[in-house]
Amino acid sequence: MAMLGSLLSLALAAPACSSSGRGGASPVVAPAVTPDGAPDGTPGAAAPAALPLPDDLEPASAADDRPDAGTVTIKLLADARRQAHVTWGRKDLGVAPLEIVRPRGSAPLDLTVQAPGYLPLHTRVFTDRDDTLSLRLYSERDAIALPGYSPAPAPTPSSSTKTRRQF
Amino acid sequence: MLFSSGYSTHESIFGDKFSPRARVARVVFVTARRIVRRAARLAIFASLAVFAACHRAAPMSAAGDAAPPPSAMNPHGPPVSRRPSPPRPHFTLAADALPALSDLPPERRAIQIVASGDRSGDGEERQVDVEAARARGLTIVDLSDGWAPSVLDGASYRSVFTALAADRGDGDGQPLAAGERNYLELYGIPPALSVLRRRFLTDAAGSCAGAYDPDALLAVDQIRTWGASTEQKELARHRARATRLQAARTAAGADNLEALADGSDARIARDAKEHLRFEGERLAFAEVEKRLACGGMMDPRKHKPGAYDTEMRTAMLDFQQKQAVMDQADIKRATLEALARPPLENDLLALERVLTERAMHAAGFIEDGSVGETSTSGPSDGPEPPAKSSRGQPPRALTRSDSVVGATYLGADGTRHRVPDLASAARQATLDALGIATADDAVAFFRRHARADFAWLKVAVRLPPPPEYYSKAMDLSVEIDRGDVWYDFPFDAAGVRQPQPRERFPQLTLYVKWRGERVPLLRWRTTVGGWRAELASDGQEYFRYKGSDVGPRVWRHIVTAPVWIPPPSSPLGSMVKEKRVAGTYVRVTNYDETGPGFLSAYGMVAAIHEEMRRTPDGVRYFDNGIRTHGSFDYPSLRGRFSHGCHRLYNQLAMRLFSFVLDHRKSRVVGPVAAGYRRAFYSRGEVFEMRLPSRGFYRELEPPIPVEVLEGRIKGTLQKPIAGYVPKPGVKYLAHRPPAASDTPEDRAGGDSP
Repeated sequence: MAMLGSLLSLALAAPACSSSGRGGASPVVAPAVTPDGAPDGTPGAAAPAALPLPDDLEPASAADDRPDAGTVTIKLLADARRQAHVTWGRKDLGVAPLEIVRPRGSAPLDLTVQAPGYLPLHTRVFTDRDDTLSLRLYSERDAIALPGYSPAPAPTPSSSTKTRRQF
Repeated sequence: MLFSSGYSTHESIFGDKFSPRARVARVVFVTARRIVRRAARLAIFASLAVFAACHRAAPMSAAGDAAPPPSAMNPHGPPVSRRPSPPRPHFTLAADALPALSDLPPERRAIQIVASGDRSGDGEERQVDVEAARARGLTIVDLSDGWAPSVLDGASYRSVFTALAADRGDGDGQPLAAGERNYLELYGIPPALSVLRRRFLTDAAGSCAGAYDPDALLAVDQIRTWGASTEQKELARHRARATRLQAARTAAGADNLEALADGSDARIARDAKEHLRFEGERLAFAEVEKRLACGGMMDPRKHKPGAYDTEMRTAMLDFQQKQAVMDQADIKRATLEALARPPLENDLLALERVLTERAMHAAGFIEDGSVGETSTSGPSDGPEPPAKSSRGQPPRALTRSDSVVGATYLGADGTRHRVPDLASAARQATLDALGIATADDAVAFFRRHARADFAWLKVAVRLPPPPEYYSKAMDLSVEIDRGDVWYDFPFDAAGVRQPQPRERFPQLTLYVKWRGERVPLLRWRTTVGGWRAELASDGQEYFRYKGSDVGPRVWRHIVTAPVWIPPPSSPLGSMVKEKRVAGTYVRVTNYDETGPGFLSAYGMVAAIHEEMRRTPDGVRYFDNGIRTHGSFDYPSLRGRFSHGCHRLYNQLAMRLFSFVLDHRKSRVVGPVAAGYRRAFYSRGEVFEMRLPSRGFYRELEPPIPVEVLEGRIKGTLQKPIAGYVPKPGVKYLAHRPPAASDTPEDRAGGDSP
């Protein structure tokens, strides 16, 4: 009863406040209230204590406070006959040799280079200055000399049926 | 609700009869009592919140163009302040008030909050001219999201820092996923003001009001936690103990467990005490679950009630990092206190920390009260003999002309003045200038300012004047006391670890020479080297004593966003990680440890310890791989060893080196090329590590002298053992350990030099 009373008093008090000339929607949403009137913060409840937030509360986009510093050009060099395909995450950047133009100082790019007959190569390019990078591709035989090399295990019947991990 | 069956997998026998009927009655009674208490509390809090909303928000000017109206705020709001009589803000003094101007460009705008002049006692926010404020002797404290410590100026890492602080980007500068948060204050990146704004306005919605019982949280000193399997065993033991105690109580005719705990049977008494303690912890644990859930830190759908599972452990870590609590997922007193506090009170504490950092950097202050009360001999003071100097001699007697004088300095007026705590003073002055004394005030401030304001927001503050020893060319010096040092191998012949207790821990003290005296400005905990495991060239791990160099050195170079070049012996296991790149997850080379970045082995800023030698060709400098640097590894500063470097908390390292650059002559060297490129193989793929730069260098002219004291040598050995020592219990292929490399990078070793 006391709780019911308090909620009632709140319901009466809030409009009194908004009537003082500052009416309008609250930027935040009141918590979910269970049928018995208690705020529902109980673990095991049906839903998390999600608070729908207005866009205004989320961080500003990266471009908001970054001065325009121009662009950088990164040249990736490789023998065109090798058909070295360069990707940045989901984005297909094309076949090397190629040029990447990015905002200066934006962020380094982690690239994957795949070419027939060579092991996938992961490398990084930086955006704080113009750069030229010669891609060195490694065949399985070349890779023997690399630190950490261990021969790929022979496929087993069970593993051969597995789908390669999709990134 | 409190006794939701989901929380207690064990039976409650907390002082009641054991019959089911009695237990039900007890539960009903306690539940009813708690509901009534909670309802009463809620009614009081709600009335206070509504009163505060009506009373405080109305008189403030609506300077923010899109400020949400405060009128309907928080009908179910929690107590925004538990203080019985909330303090009143002080505002800007009338003498410092500048004319309000409405058409200033963003870079010329600062805010002031001055008393409104009516009887309300409230303030009125206005925009004033930055240049006019400076001319008036006020300091402009940058509140914008573009702020970064000045030591980052010029370094490309600065934009990564600001993106991390504003929850916009990750450590590589890539955008965060929607809803993802950085909690990096403990790693040296305080949240941006727009992040705090989100926290305040979210918490003002009151989703945690009445959702948990703070008294239950504070009823215990800690909650023990375990891994999954051990946790199940502990809970089973607890249930078994409950059964045993029930039988014992019946047999003894005791009214409750407290009577058993006070009984004469020692074993039963011990069991009863342990049971009561465990019960209290489980009750508190249930409140922790509620607190994490109501705060949105934990998704209850992914959590098994009563278990400290991955979901809850992750949420706890996030919570602790958000509140700058160093318990690392353990639930100790500091964590319980943070959990028990109303969320807005935690937000206010975070705001105070952030404003302290901003104000200290704006003013170029460093004194934070760490030199303590007046003493006369600095860190060497103590019950034991003082540390030996680096030359192995006891410190010479203090003289009037060159003495260590504790935390006072001689003023121009001929009297001694205490070295002030400028951090506290700067924080309070900034809070006053913003009109913030309570969490309520902070909510009102953030309601007045839309997110867009934090692209330019600055405040004009009357900070305390700098002490008279301040100048652009202060005569600074550093002393690092290694504290208690053990050179003995920490295992005996049987391979049993030997305790090597330390009473005195390493400390770094910054001094300024003023009127012939060395005046300590700060004294912070740091680290020194010790026995560390290291991968040798034969591929096996040995122990090696990686001590910190002793003797006179200099800081000549300060390196922002330093890069650690991994030696060839570095294990490859941690050099690949999986991360999201441009919309998908891929394996990439792991640059976390090398940097640049807050997780770098050298932190976000480092000073190189260089040994100055006079040669026939003039003065030459030698780098032996030792640095004083920031570190993400904050627990190591509570007593662990480094590989020889002197670590500081990242934010303190940035504060220190920003101060040094502010008050010493220096020149910008810029990025120093490393040209490092290394390929390695991992699971059928080739990874390249490219480190084009060693970091952004500045050179101090002249360098700052650094004296590393040997400390108190404990144990038998007076000199460290050179080279590798086999680890007890390990079978080695080689007859003798290989020679240990002594290049600076090798000395630095693996994780966190």
